[in-house]
Amino acid sequence: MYRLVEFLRRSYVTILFVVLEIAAVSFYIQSTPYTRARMLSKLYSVTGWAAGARSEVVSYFALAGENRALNERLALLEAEVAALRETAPDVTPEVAEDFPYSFIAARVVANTVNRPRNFITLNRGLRDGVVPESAVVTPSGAVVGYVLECSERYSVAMSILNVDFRTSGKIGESEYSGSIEWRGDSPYEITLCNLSKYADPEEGKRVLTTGFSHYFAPDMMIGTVESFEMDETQTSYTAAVRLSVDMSRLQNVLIVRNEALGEVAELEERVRNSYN
Amino acid sequence: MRYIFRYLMLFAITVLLQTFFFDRLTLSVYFAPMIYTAVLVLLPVNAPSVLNLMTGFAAGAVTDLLCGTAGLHTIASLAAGYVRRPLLTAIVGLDGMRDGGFPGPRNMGRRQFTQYFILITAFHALVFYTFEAFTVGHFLYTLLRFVTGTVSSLLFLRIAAYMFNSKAPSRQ
Repeated sequence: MYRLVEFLRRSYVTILFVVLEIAAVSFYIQSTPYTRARMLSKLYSVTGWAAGARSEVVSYFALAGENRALNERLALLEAEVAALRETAPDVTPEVAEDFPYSFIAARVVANTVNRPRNFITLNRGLRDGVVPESAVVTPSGAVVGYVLECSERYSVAMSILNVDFRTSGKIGESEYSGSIEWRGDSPYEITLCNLSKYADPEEGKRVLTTGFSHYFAPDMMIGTVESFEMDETQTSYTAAVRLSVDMSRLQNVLIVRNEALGEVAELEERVRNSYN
Repeated sequence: MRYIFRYLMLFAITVLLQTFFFDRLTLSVYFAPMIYTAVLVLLPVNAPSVLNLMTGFAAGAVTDLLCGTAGLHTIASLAAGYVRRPLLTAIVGLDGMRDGGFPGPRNMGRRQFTQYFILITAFHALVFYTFEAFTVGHFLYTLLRFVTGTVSSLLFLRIAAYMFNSKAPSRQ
């Protein structure tokens, strides 16, 4: 006790300085959007680096399984390409120049599934061509989330397991769409609500993206219908959808950048402004 | 007691000058004197560390309040207040600290006073401009502002020191 008092007596000025300086710096950082944004960006970089280092070690031990999954996916894609070539032999890569999507492979360095608002940190950022509002999908094309913020080398995406996540989904090839959301309960299930009563859902049917949201291309896999019921007003279905991806084991993803996103957003803004 | 009144007057005048004159000068972004630190720079040589710290805090906080700069001046002047005593000890030595007196060429010697004056002003400006930029990008621009800010602050602080010391004795 005496030593503690002695220590405090000798260093109270330094302690006082540290406390006042931290208070002043905190106040300054919170004072403007610029300083807040710079601080957040720096924090993302630091936490991203730390999580990246941890993820490097963890992913090394998962390499065997990843290789197996990649080989299976490769075989599937080769078979698809071969089948397409047979049906459309004149299609060459040059013809698909207008394809608006570009793909960036990324690794998950931090991920949560047990909170109401879950986020995913990825080891690709601005210098790799990632921009906010890019879709995040698994290598097999299943929806995972979309990018919210980027720093130079990292980006943070909103997970599909986030109560603020919204996109639109449809049952199989039908035209009827509903709203996809997560209600914060099971990390294996999301909810497709406001689905038209004419949609005719069935258990086991695939739930795909509609393409109405700016983030995801159409017909991307979300999950399969597990159960469904008519809502209280008897005008629409609410379906429980089992996710096709295990979010707790996410390792490698693809960031899908929609090159036409800016053009679409600008056009919609012009139309909105002209009719307001 | 009369020295407390002298310091309070110096504090009031320099903070008001900073707020209502220097902050509104629009000659150039490179001409930004910071004179409110005069009360900290001219405290007695052997002032206790806690007095240095609290004077720096008070000068910075009041300037922030009046100029609306949300903690920027406080960060810089608090840091300057903290390093003041170690800096003086390094320049004048323990004997000089024991002798005390007001900082000035007569008391400290021209060379030591100049060293102290430049170093503490430069340190304050360094912290200020670093936090103001809040990025390592545009490093040369920030460096230029630091150099020109230090020079312009030194000019007016030297005038304030001359006027303060002309009436004060070299020893307390």
